[in-house]
Amino acid sequence: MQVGIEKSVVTPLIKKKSRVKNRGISIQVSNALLSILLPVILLIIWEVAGALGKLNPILLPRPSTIIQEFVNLTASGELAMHLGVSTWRALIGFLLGGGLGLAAGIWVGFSYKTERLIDPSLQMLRTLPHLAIAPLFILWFGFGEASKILLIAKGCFFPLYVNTFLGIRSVDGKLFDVGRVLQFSQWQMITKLIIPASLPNIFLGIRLSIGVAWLGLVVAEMMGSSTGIGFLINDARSFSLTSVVFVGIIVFAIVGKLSDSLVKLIERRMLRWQDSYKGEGSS
Amino acid sequence: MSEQVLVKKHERDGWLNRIPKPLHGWILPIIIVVIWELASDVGNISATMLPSPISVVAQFVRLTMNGELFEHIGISVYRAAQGFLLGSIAGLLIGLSTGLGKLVERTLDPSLQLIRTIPLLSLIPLFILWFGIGEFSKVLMIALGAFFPVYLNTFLGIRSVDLKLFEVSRIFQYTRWQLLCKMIIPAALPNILLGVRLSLGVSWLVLVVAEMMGASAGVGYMIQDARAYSQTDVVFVGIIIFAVVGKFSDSGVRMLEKKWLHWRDTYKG
Repeated sequence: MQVGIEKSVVTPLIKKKSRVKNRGISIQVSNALLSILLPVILLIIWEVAGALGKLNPILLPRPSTIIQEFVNLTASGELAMHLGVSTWRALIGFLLGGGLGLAAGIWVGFSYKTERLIDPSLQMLRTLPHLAIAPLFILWFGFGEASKILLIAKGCFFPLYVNTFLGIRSVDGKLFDVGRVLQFSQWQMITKLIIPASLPNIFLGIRLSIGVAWLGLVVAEMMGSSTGIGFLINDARSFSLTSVVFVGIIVFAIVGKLSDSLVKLIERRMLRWQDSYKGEGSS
Repeated sequence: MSEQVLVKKHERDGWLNRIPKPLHGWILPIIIVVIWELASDVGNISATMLPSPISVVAQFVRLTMNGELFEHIGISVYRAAQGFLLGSIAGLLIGLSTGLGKLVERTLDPSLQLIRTIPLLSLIPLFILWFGIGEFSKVLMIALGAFFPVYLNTFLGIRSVDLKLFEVSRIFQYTRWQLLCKMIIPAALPNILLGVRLSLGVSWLVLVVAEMMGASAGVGYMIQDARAYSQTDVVFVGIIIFAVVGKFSDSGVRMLEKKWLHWRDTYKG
């Protein structure tokens, strides 16, 4: 009799479980459907209205025209060329500014004296909106590569500087004591303890920096250049080739998103290493 | 031995200790400004590249006296305020509706997140094409920039309201309106204000770029115009104005934050 009761209790439980599972899947499916519902409807309305000639193609080209333009630009290699130039600029600027920001952050993070002397000045500079500096850079360095790269570098400097500084200052004091007990040299202290411990903050800084780098790149290339995605957009605008403008904007969005996800991926791997490293140390 | 080291360290830091602490931050800027001034006086630096600090100050005084500066600042602030109000109110309303309604969240939020990945400033050419280079396109641009920080943080703030508070409100038999005004909004206020601060920063940044792209008044125009005529001291004045006004607006919101959150704390007590 007891067995019978148990069975009657167990079977609905199992049923309930599988139903919950099914419901979970169906909720996911309906979520996915709902999330693409709005963009798809908008795209269809846009396309149909464009095909019926209700929309001015100069103001709002049809999605199919934009895709066509994208394919054309890719096939002619023009897009790849501009993208290459832009990426190179962003990379150089990021490496320069980010590297300096990291170095300055480490330096200021380490010494209390440097912090008191230099940090207030840097914080003062940080309040300048970095794109307002663009005309000054053009005056100083001309319209060439140097002013663009320096503008990007200036934008990349501060997020990395602030976050590196914060990361170093939030390293657990106990770890320092352990390092001192193990008689770490100054160099070992930096490479084995402080940098791994402040890595999460540094990665946050890198991600913010990359976002700023793309933003600075857009503006720098629109201010004046003869290659790059920003130039492609601005040039297309002056000839009213709106579909090319759309292609440029979408490429910017995709590349920005991809670079962000790349850093996230690296971050996950590096921080996994850090965790396992910590585990080894504690055992 | 350790005493020796300590003494040595003390000697090395001695010159720093003789200066009162609050002044430490000013040492480096003052040294730089003095060197800069001396170098331009001697004539090592051309005035079109790097005008001396005194000439920047003189230019600032001149622009203030003839009222030109106030005119530009007024127009810039007006634009930024319009765009900011438009964008942040839209962000607040949409954030509230996605935060409160599950269905709205599922339909609207993914699309908005998709739009968010587009770098804002790359949209400027499109806005110029659509709306021309008039006031309207600038205000819309700023509004778009101001929208996302407020939207995201409002949404986040509502979703992180403590569930226990909801249960308490159910016991008190709050109506929907009371629930919204007396519980959800106060509880989400810290996040909303953070969003407001971020979006103020963004709208200021977008303003700079929008005014440089094409305008006939405003601080951004003043900078761009001065650059074209190589009046570098005016460029400096403009940049400093941007920094100061940006800083002021940020501290203004911070003050509001302190006041409102203080009220919230006493309310809770």
